[in-house]
Amino acid sequence: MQKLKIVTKSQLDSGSSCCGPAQSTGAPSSRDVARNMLSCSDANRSAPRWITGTLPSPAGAVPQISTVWTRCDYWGMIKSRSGGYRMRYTVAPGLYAVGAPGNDSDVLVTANYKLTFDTVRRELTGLTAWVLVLDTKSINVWCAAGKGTFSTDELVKRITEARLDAVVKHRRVIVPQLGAVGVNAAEVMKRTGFRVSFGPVEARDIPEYIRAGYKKTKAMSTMKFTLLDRLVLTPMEINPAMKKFPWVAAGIFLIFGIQPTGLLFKEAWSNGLPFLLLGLLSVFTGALVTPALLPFVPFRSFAVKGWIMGALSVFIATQYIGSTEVQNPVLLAAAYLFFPALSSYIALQFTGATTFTGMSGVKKELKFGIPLYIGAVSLSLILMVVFKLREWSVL
Amino acid sequence: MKYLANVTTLEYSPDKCVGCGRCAEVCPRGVFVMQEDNSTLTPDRHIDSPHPFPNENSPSPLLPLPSEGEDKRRGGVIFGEGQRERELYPREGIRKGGVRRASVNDKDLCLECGACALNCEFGAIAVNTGVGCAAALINGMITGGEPTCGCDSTPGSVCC
Repeated sequence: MQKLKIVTKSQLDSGSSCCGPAQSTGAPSSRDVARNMLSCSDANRSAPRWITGTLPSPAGAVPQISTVWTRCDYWGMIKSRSGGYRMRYTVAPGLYAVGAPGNDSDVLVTANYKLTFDTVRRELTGLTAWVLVLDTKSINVWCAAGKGTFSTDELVKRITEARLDAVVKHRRVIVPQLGAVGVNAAEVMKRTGFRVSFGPVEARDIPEYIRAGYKKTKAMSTMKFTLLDRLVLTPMEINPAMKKFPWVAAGIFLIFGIQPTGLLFKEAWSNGLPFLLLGLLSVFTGALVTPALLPFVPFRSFAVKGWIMGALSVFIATQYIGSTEVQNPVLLAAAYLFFPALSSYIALQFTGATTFTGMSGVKKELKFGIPLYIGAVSLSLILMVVFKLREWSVL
Repeated sequence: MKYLANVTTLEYSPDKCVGCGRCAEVCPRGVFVMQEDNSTLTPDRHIDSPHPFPNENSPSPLLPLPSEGEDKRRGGVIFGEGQRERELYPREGIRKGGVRRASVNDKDLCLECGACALNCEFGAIAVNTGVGCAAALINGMITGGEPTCGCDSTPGSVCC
């Protein structure tokens, strides 16, 4: 019994640090080795697989890193783009070397979100440089700077701990431009003697920025938000919305199934299904279609954009759904009230993922939007009650 | 792409600007541009400023140091050689022509990230910063606290 307890506890422990290095006792079996090869785990390795060696420096040995992505780096990117794994996708903060940098090589500062770190090292192919990784709690530069983990204090701390003044003879560090939200260059200068140059926004412009003598073009210093940029962010919009979707589905089935005689599952399914599909469509319109078509949907307000696309999708869908329920004027009115409001609300959530929405603007949208959402949902519920009462011939 | 017009809390006081160019360097939206301003000469500005030559030892990438024989362009001020100017501004050297300083290109581009205000040593820029994220603001409304995306170190939480 006692033994069983211990086993359960150790299982729980490894479960809570999910996907972290599993604690292995004794020699790994060939099955474990095979599993590790497939799972990309670094558990049985002395160093992560992107470390290729060590480079001696006046401040001690510095790990040398590869600029090539392996299958595991791609797999990690996919996992971190789609869910909570991102919060554990991290590299140890500190100094790293790309190639064999010397005391006059550039120092590039970045975050310890592994996807950010991987993007930087990949873009440094063919260059020699120092990479100073700040502890941003596995968050990218832009978000971490906003939250205060990519900060003046953290940069000063890492410069000091890495003994950068001994490693290089110059006194300059290149900080990603988006880190400027958290890094006060004048204060870093005052406290460490290192002058901060804010480099390009995108890691892919680093080689060009260095080649041009640390000068950036306007394109290098402005944030872009391309179709691809927007699309990779949509899974994080769809996932949370779909988690709440069962409640909407349950509501729809309840409304259509409830009869004076009790709940009728056949009615619930056959009459509710078209509305369930409209609901799904609205979620995807708000979380995927609107973000993808963002620049082409009229008006600047995200709530309005989402509403327009939602109304459009309800209009198109109802042309193809031949069910008598959908063609019922009361239900149709309820659908037009509820579903575009749902798309609008979900589209408004995308403000958190964009590169150009400010707090004052979002506040303004919420000030007007929330009362309208509450109004639209209440009104559509009233219409549903009217529909049910008519169905039961009460009205 | 631009967000809502006339909502930003960005405030810029050109009279405090010394033309170091940091704001233009950090703004990811191109709100600030550096311009030669010949119309308003405000000579006292640089004498009173606690840090008259921010870039003398640390040139901004936007402001290359002049080579020998060129006009001395330091801290945004172009200096000349005239006797009168030398008497007027003994500490700075002599100014000639206009002042290089930041101007706001398009306020509506601003996303209130605060990078410019944080990095302006001269207090010329103020902005009410915060997250432009609906989920965070709704969270803040419900809990009555600061808007947060719940991103902190809690594993598995959804980040915006």
